[in-house]
Amino acid sequence: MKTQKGNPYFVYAATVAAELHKATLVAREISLTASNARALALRAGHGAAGFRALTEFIDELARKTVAASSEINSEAIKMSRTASETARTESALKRFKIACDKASEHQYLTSIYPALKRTEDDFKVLQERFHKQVYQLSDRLNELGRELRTATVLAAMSRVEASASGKEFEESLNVIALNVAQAADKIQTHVKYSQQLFGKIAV
Amino acid sequence: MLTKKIYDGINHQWIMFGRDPEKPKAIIDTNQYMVRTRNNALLMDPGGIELFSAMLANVVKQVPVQQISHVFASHQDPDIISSLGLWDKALETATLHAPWLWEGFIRHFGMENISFDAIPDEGSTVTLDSVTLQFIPAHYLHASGNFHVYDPAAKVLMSGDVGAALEPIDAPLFVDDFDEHVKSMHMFHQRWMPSNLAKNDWVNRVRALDIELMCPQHGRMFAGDNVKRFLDWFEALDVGTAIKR
Ligand SMILES: [Fe+2]
Ligand SMILES: [Fe+2]
Repeated sequence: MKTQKGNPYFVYAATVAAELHKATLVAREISLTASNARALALRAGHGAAGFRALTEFIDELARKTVAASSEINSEAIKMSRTASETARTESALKRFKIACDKASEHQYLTSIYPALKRTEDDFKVLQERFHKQVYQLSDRLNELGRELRTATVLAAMSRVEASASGKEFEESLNVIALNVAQAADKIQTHVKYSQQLFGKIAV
Repeated sequence: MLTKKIYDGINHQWIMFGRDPEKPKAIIDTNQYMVRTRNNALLMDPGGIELFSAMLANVVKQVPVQQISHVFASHQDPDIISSLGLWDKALETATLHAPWLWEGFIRHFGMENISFDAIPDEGSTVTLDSVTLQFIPAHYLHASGNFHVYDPAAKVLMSGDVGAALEPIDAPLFVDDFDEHVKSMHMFHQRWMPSNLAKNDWVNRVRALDIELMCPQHGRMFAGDNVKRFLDWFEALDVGTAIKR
C-alpha cells in the first residue's frame, strides 16, 4: 500500500492525528470564549438581551466542537496505529516472500507456507481495517466542517447584536464575535489540511 | 548464504550459517548457529532484520520451520536478535531464552507468539529431546547480561561476541594461523569488551570446560589447540581501552 506520491501512508496517518490534536486545543478556546460571552452579556444587562440569546448557541457550538474534535482525534490515533501495524506486517510479508524465493529448491520450503498465509491474512485484515477507519474518519471530518460553518453565521449575528448592546459593551462583545470566528477558522484549517492528507492516502 | 555442518553426532548436529554474499555492505557480517535434534531445533543468535529472509531460507534447507522450538539470544544487540519480530510471525510456539536483564528491551523488537524464558545470572540449561545444552554466564562480554551456549556432548562452545573478528565476507570459516588472526580480533576485543575482571572471570570458567570447537558470532571458528591459544591471548589482553588510564 503506497500513497499517490509514494510517501508512506503511516506518516500521513500520524500527521492527521497531530492536526486533529491541534484542532482539539482550539476547540477549547471556543469553549472559553463562550463562558466569557455569557458573563459579559449578563453584565451588559437589558441592552444585550439579543446577545445573551446568542451565547447559548456559541456555547453549544463550543461543546459540539470540543466533543467532535477530541473524538475524531482519538479515532485518528487508532487509525495511525493501524497504519503502522499494516506497514510492519507488509514488510514481514515481503521478507517471507523473499525467503520463499531463496528457498525454492530447499527441502522444507513448504513449511514456511502456513506462516506466509497467516501473515497474508493479517495484512488483509489490517488493510481493510485501515481503509474503514480512513473512510469513517473523513466522514466525521466533513461533518465537523459543516458544523463549523455555523460559527461564521454566529459571529456575524454576534456583531449585529454587539452594536445593539450599547457603547459600553459593544467593543468587548465584538472581540468575542471575532474570537469565535477566528477559532472556527483555525479549526477549519486543520480539518481541511487533514482532508487533503486523506486525499493522499490512495485507497 | 553459506551453511556448514560443524558437528555431526548420534543424537544431534550443529549447523553454522553465515558469509551471506547478498548481505547489505554496511552491516556487520554475522554467524548464526543451530542445534538440531530428532524433533527439535535451537536457533542461536538468529541475527538482524536484514538477514532474516536468507536465514529463514537456509533454515528450511535443514529442518521444517515448525521444528524450531527454541531460540537463544546471547544479549540484546540488533545484530543478534532484531529479527525477533519476524521470527515471531514464523514460529508459533517457540521459546526465546535470553538474559533476564534484557527482557524489557528485547521485547521492543516485537514478540507476541514466542514465549520468553529469562535466564538467571548464574545460567541455566535447556534440553532438546535427549540433548542438554548449558547457558554459561559471560556477563559484561560485552553486554552487561550475556550468555554463551556450551554443549558438553559435542564439546562446542557458542561464544557470542567473544572470539569475534572483523573480516571480509569471504574469510575462511576456521582460524588457520592464530598469530595472523589476532590482527583482526585485537581492536574488537579491546574496544567492545569493557572489563578485565569480567574477562578473567570468564576465562577461568571456560578453561574448566572441555572444548573442541569455539564458535563466535563474527569471524572464524576456533578448533582444537586454537581454543587454548585464544584463552591465553584473551587472558593477557588489556580491555576497556576507550578509557584513558
Ligand atoms: Fe554484541
Ligand atoms: Fe555481535
